[in-house]
Amino acid sequence: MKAFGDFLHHRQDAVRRVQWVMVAVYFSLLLGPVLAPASALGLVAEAVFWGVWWPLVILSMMVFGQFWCGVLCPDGTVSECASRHGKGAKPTETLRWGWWPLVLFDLVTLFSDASDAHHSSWGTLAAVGGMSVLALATGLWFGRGRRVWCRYLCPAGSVFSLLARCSILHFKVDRAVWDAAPRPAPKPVDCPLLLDVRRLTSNEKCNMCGRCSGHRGAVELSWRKPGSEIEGLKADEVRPWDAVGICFVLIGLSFGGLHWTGDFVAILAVALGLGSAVTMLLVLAAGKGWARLAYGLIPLAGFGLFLGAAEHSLALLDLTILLPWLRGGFVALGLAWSARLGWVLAEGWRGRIVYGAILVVLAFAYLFV
Amino acid sequence: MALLITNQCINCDVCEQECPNEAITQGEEVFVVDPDRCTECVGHYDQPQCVASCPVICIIVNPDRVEGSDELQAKYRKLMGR
Repeated sequence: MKAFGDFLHHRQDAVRRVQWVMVAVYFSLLLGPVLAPASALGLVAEAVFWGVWWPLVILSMMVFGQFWCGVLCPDGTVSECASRHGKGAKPTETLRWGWWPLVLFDLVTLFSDASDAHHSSWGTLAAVGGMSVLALATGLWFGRGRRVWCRYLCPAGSVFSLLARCSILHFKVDRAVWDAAPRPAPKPVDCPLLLDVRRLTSNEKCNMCGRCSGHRGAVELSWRKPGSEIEGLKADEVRPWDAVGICFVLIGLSFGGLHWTGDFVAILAVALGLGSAVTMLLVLAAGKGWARLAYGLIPLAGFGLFLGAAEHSLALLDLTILLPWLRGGFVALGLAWSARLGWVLAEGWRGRIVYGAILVVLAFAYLFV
Repeated sequence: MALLITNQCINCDVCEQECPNEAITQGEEVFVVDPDRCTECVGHYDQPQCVASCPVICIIVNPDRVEGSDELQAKYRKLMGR
């Protein structure tokens, strides 16, 4: 794995070429169906955006981390490029407010699900293209060749940062080696997300771009045990927006948006109802530690989100016959993974039993609703 | 006034290389400024180079080391052996 991380570091020229190809493909699929509505581009775009990209990117986050963001994402590429030529302002405290990605994700998801934007080229342009415009504007205003958008604002990042905590790959930093390296460093560490790489212990915001790989001989792409980051989560590392995001968005809003598409009130009611129920049960299971316990639900909820996205893919491919098998496999995997995490995170039998009940209810919902 | 690096520092190494007084070193958690060596770049530049180069907002005036421009100039001369 180290070699792949070092490849990303050394061959940024090749990565950049791939990124700009992605930008070209992305804007063709975004604008093509609007400019040429009579063509088949609309169907192709729908299949690529919602049938292929969305489910695969969810799965890739959970398994490999946020490589999509750091290596392929067109919005990140455009924002970073704009930031090289823009005003170069430093990220302010208001911009660094931790709830922004979740708030933006809610707004975009509510808009796209309530208006059924997936099935309309104009809807997709508004939902997806609107984010691209914001990414460009952020780059023009903030950072100096950095990805301020990806770090502090990207709506998808609110979900990706949760899912990536499960992944089996991460950039591991050996702090002792870092500190023992000759000073001053020949060049500053290159992190487009402005992360503190020296103290990096989480996949939360790491875009896995690989540019820090090998820095001071202390950073390398490594395997890790699935879910180990969540198992080792300390109380002061728990983010309130993560816990709310897991209960009300990853579980509630995703479920509501999938099954009640086109009905704004129903989506909102399901999101709030399901999210509140899960939150209350977590409080019953862990008291003040409910937010930390919520992280244990990420694998099952993540696979639930994947299944929702995959349902659309299978419908596009006319393969819905496979859906029960897909649901069975991924729900079983998510159930086992989340149960394992809950066993570590929950304390006492009452906590584990209540947590187990949440998992069973969610599994039934993902399997049969 | 000497400068102070807060815990918002991202340990990016940029400021250490920019400091003309070699006043910035790696601390336990983040970079630290030696107030006896920091002249806020008086004598070298028009503005503190660490603040200008820092990609985030984490370098502030050290409230415990209030110094006027004359004192900073004197500190600069002493550091340069003039």
